[in-house]
Amino acid sequence: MAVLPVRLLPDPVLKAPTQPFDTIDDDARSVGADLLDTMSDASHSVGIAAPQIGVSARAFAVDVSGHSKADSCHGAFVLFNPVLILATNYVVGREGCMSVPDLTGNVARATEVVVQGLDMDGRLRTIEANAFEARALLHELDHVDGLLFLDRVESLSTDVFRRRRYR
Amino acid sequence: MNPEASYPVVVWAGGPDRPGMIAVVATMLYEKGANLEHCAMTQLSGHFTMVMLVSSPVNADELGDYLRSGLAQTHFTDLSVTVRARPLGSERPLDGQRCMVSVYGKDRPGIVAVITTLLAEQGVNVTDATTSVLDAGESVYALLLEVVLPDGLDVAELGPALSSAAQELGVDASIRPIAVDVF
Repeated sequence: MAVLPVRLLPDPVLKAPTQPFDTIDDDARSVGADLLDTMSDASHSVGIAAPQIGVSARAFAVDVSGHSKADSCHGAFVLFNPVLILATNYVVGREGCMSVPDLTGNVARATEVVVQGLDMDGRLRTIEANAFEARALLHELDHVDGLLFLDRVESLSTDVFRRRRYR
Repeated sequence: MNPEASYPVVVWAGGPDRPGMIAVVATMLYEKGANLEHCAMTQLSGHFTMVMLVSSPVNADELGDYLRSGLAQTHFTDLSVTVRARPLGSERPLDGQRCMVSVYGKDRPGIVAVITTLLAEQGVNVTDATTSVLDAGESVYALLLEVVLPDGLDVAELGPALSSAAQELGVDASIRPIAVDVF
């Protein structure tokens, strides 16, 4: 249980293949706790995936509590071995990522999703989410597959923007 | 990255579009030991244009001569190149409310001039601009701007000013904040 440094591009862990969890044991729960701690420590963060804290494993944490764009909200939770069951109603929105400083991009994401995974007790959990929580889930699912929002941008000339400042 | 490349310069290059234009310029810069930094390159109605921030191992004049004489040996002789020194400290902060401005309507002279002058007078910084002429029976002009508002200026104030300027031009204008969700 610790706040870990958020890995930044070009750290290869962000693109490395990830391993599923065989069982949700204390080691797995420790990764889950680190995800929750690091997420709540990083301001503006509503989600974080294991590769972002240097762990090549299939897990992420999401918490959209209190976010103005959220509709569905399942509070703070961790999913291990997450699987996307359903994704529909795509909408373009502009995203940034803690691991990709200075850039933002327009990405089409489903606004209604069903995601399944194991919770901290190893029980199967089914999350039906929409709106902002759906976008957060999809962004984190991508991290688990080594994909960054930069891999989702469809038109470079109009879809990638500097976030903060010129260099 | 070549640490010896210590002259910050801007390179503009452009010409009739065909495959290989970026490759030939980028390869010449690479072979000279120059570092390519932030670039914008696009094709506009058959003309390809590039603007590149480069750190160069030689000064702007020397790099310009190198590129032009090198290109003369290729089949890209119609590519024009300009290189200028880039003063250090020319970076501008981009912090502030970001907005998209859309202006469109029946084409007429002065749309870009009037709209961007209004924005400039309000201290609004344009960070990206695209314009297109659309042929929809009669000519339609579309101007899309991404802007950063100065501190103290609200979208709610700027919107009506934009609309009335647009109305005088006989076109429509809207402005909306860009929300960025960081995950």
